[in-house]
Amino acid sequence: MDTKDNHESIEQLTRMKIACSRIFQNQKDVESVKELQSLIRSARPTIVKTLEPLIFSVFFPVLKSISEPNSSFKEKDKQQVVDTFKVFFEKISIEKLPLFFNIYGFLLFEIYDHMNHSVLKISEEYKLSIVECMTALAKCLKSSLIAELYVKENAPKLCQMIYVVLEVAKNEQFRALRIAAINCIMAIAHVLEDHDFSDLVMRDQIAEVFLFFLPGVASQLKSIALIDEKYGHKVPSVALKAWGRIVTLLMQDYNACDRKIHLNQPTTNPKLVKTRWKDENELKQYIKDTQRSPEWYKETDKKLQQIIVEFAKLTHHSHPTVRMELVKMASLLLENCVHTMPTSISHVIDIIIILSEDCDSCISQKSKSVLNDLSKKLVTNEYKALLDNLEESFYGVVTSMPRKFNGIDERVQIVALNSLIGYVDLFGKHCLTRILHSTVHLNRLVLTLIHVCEFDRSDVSTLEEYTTTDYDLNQDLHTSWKKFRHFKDVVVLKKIETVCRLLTKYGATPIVTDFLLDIIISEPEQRKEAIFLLNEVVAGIELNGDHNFNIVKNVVSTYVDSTHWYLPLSVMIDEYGYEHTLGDVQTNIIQVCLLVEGIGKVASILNTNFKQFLLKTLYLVLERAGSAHPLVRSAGLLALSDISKACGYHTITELINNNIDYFSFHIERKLNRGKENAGGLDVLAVVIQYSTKEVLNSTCDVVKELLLRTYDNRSNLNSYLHVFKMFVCGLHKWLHIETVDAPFKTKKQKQEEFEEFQVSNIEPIEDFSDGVMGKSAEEMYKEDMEKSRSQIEQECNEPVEEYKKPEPPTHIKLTVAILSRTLHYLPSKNQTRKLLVLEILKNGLPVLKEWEDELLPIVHQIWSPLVDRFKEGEDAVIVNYSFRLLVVLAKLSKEFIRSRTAKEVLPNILTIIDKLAKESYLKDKGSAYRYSQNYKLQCTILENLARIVTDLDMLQQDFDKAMETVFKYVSDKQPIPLQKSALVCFETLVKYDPKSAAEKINSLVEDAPTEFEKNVAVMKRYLNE
Amino acid sequence: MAVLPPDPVFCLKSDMDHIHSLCFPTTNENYTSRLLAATENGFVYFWDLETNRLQHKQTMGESIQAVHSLQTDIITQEKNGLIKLWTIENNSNYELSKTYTCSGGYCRSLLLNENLIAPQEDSTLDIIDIKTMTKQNRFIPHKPKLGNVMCLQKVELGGKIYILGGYETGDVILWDYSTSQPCGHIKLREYITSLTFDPVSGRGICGNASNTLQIFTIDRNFNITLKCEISITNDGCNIVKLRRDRKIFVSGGWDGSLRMFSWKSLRLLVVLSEHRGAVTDVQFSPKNVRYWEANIMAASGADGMISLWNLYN
Repeated sequence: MDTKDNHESIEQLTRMKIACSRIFQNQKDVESVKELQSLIRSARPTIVKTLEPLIFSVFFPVLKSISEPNSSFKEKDKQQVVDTFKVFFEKISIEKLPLFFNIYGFLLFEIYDHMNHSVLKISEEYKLSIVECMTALAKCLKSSLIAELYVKENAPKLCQMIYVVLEVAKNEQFRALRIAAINCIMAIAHVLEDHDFSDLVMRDQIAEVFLFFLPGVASQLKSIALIDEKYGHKVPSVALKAWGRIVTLLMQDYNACDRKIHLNQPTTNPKLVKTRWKDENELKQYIKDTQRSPEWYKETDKKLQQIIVEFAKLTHHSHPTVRMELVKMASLLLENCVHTMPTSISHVIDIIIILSEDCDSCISQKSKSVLNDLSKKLVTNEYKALLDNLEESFYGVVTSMPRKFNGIDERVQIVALNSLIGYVDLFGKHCLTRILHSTVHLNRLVLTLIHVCEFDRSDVSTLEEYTTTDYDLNQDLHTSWKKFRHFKDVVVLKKIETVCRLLTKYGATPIVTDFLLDIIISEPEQRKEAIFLLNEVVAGIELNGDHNFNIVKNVVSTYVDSTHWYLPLSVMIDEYGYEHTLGDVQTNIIQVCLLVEGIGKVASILNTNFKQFLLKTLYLVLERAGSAHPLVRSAGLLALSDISKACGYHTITELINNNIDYFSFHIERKLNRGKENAGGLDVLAVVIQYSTKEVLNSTCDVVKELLLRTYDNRSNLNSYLHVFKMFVCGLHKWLHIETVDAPFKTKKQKQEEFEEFQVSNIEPIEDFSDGVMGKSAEEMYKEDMEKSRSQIEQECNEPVEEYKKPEPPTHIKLTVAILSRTLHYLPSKNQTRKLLVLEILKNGLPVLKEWEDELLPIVHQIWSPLVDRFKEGEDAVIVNYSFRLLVVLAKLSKEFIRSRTAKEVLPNILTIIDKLAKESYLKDKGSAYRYSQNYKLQCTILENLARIVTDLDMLQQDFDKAMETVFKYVSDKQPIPLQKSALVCFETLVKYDPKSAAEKINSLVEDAPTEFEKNVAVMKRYLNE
Repeated sequence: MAVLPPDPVFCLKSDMDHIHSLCFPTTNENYTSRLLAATENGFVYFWDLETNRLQHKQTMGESIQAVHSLQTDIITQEKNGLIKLWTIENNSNYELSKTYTCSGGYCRSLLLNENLIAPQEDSTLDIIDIKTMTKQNRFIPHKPKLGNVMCLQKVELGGKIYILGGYETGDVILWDYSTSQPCGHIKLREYITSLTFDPVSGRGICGNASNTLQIFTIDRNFNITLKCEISITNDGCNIVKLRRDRKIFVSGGWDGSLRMFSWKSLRLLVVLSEHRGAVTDVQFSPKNVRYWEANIMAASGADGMISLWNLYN
């Protein structure tokens, strides 16, 4: 290996020597220059080193002749020479100052017009070569030479190159050239490579020289960094890097301990800058005198501050590389220059704070770690001055926010919030509470947040929906009441929430909640916003110890305070004569939603500890969940599901089942309180919707209680009736009472069944059917006496187990009580009340299906008031509802009401539809009649009449009468739905008793007018089937 | 619309039947957290006032007329005269420890420090030492034919303790507790049911089966004088109770109404008709109840419900 290497080296050496000698002979032998260049590039540094004297001695004449005026070298050739030097410098290191200045002088000469103090007009490529060569030259200095070179006396010399390079970096179009130029400055300042940073003594010395260039370098680099985004991201990134490194080089606190003391002292205004010096001596004197004194730092800090302020623009540069470079720059300054540039550093922190919420995660992570480091240091005494500055800028940020939110640019708003978040983060646990203990800061912060999250109520709908059945949790529980006046973007909202969470995280909860509660209580104008913020603050609370618990307790009791909780949710004039306008109502809806949301949030943080609040809150939340306002309802449901989760219940049902004792108390109370407190009804509706059979007993208790109250509280009877209606509906749900019709049986089937009974010699237990009551009272009495006597005898003889009427369960007893209580209101003059009662009866009777002993007496009691309803022919709704009840009665009690129906009701019904047949005649699809109650009544009757007739097994004559009337609807001049119902009616009747139906139909059909023809054909088909 | 009477803060309901007696157990904590209720069926219900839920229930006899709590122990007194001392076992169940037999009836025994005062045959009173459950002393009235003792009330006069006993006949007798001798007497309306007394003003109230509450005073010479009468709407008062702060007294009637009066002016403040059966007992919590952040009043009824009130505090 070695030998091979050696062999190669020797060969390289020889070839280089040959190239050198050729160049020596012919200065313009570009080919040899090129060859040498590539040889050096591939050779090892040691070999290049040995040839160093030779190369220099060969090239000096070349350089000299190039430099001569009127030299005939082509630019391309010169470039080759310069490039060769570049690769050469990359391999060697220079130890002698004259040598350096020689090359330096040559390069400067090639690019710089000494007469006009400007960059020569040479090709971009050549400029690039020169700049790169300069860079290589600056990099290859031996450290001893650096010590020699970087002294104040050399400053004017170095100055020229720096000037040139800056000019190039600023004015050229060629990107690679600009970047090379900036790198070159860094090379001259020895901040290009990472290892440059370790030698503090060297840095200090270089800084001593560079302090003369700083103003120019800093401002020029700034303008390069801030060039338009269309020039791409590379140039600004490099410029930023250079700016940061050079400023750090100068401002780094090399001997911090000595200087700090002076820095804080007031300094006399130093006369630093002069534009021109009278003569060289004065310049020299200036150079000699100028040093990095406290005054100098102070002055420079001020100037740099202006530049850093401008850098803030780059925080929303579109390219992440630039923003990352900004972070690095800031972090470098924060690490090294906190004490030397106190004014600027707070702007640097501003930048880093903004970037800590950057959308690029690398950038935000890096920024956050920088902030985190800083945050730890802030508590120390040394950083007190900085902290004061930061406090001030924090105040500034907060103060500027309302203005930014009054604008419409959401990007600006987000940046503002980001910096707020950053500050809060920066102050962290140690400083935030201290700062917020200052009333000025606290006031400003909270009021600003309140301003920022001002609600927009204009879109809030005040319409109520009466859908008490649909409380599906799966429905989209959006929080659409949360509309803000100053922004729409969810990101902004999330940021505001983050601010609130951070306030809690860093221990400001007690201060902030106190303040917000104060506003909620005393400032109606800002109440909503304060509640919103408080909700978010509460959501961040972590429970440890009593203190936070007491805060939460306070919040809950403020929220549920009736003055905040109960607000008018519809436009109205209250008892004090105050008019609640649409705006008020919209505001109220938002507030109500926020409050109930807050309760949910409290539950979420307290987990099972929330159980102790259930007695005070569950009812209230249920009331919201049952609200007729869709927004309020969804807020309520959301809170309800939060509470369920928090308390460890899997479903809302479980929550309700397990805590009914807590809210049933309130339901009773509210329902007794009269009309304004219909909330109890809403709650019951929710309970019935969500609960299962387990709550049956507790609900029975509530309802029983209410039933008792109906005796002494007549004023809101309708509310009670509503509850009863809900309760019987609830029973249907809980007990799965099916309303399916019993299987249809034809007359023949029924007779067969009846015969079977007779054959098996078992008498039906009770046959109260009016039809069989043919005996006189006396006869019946005797019969009973006979029976009882024989029974007694029987019992004496053999004590068999007596048939004992089973004791019905509570809910059956209660249903009976409700039904027999409410049917008294059937003859009421109040239409709503009558309808409610009819509904209760209709739904309540099926509950008693299995309890005939309870059912039949009720049916009997209902009868007489119900019959009278059919006489109110002019009120179609009442007749409609009554008819529906009749259908249920027929289904449940069958023959029990046969003859009374035939006698007392059927004629009325038939008269009604007979009369209505004329009205519906020729009312086509578009007719308004189709929307009338009369039409609906017709539909109901025609759909169900056949069922009644068959259920009750009516006599032939009634059967015929019904068919006669219904036949009118078979006309094709009747509305089609009615025709269809009529046909179905006939179909059923035909099926039930084909023989008698056929007779009647045939007689009806005989002389029917032509308009009947179409449907008559259908009917005939029924007969044939 | 007329102003509606205030609501109770909560009602405790469970499967309780007719409740005879309530007791707020005294604890070392600075708040009251439990309430005991004794019922006709012989159960004692332990209500947790922090959650307002039933914590525990235990059958402890039959028709328990009075329940007392002494540190961790419980004393029950049944209608048949059996007095039982219960001590706590394994943290949840009470075990019967000792018994004592007094005369049966409706008179609730009175707990006085370590002693229990209970009615005995022949209109006498037994002073029982609770630790040993033995008779310490017997108070014998100086009048014949008084019938059963109906109620007992502790009276403090001049730093000494006296006991008032109310009888079926309407006689009220005052005993000196230290000498066991009767020292005062008055005849009030028949069928006394309840007595309460204010040591500061020396006034007391007596409830009975009629529709009248009687206010009496006891002077330094133990002369008991009827001062005035308050008539109430319906007959029958089961309980009269003066609140510790001496501002309010309350009567619980057979009609289920609770009537609160100002003790100073004897003016009726409010009628609370929450109970559907006769009010049987009223107790004021000795300490703050944390959940309500107040001293509360508990009233029990024949309807098996306990209503909790936070009024005029």
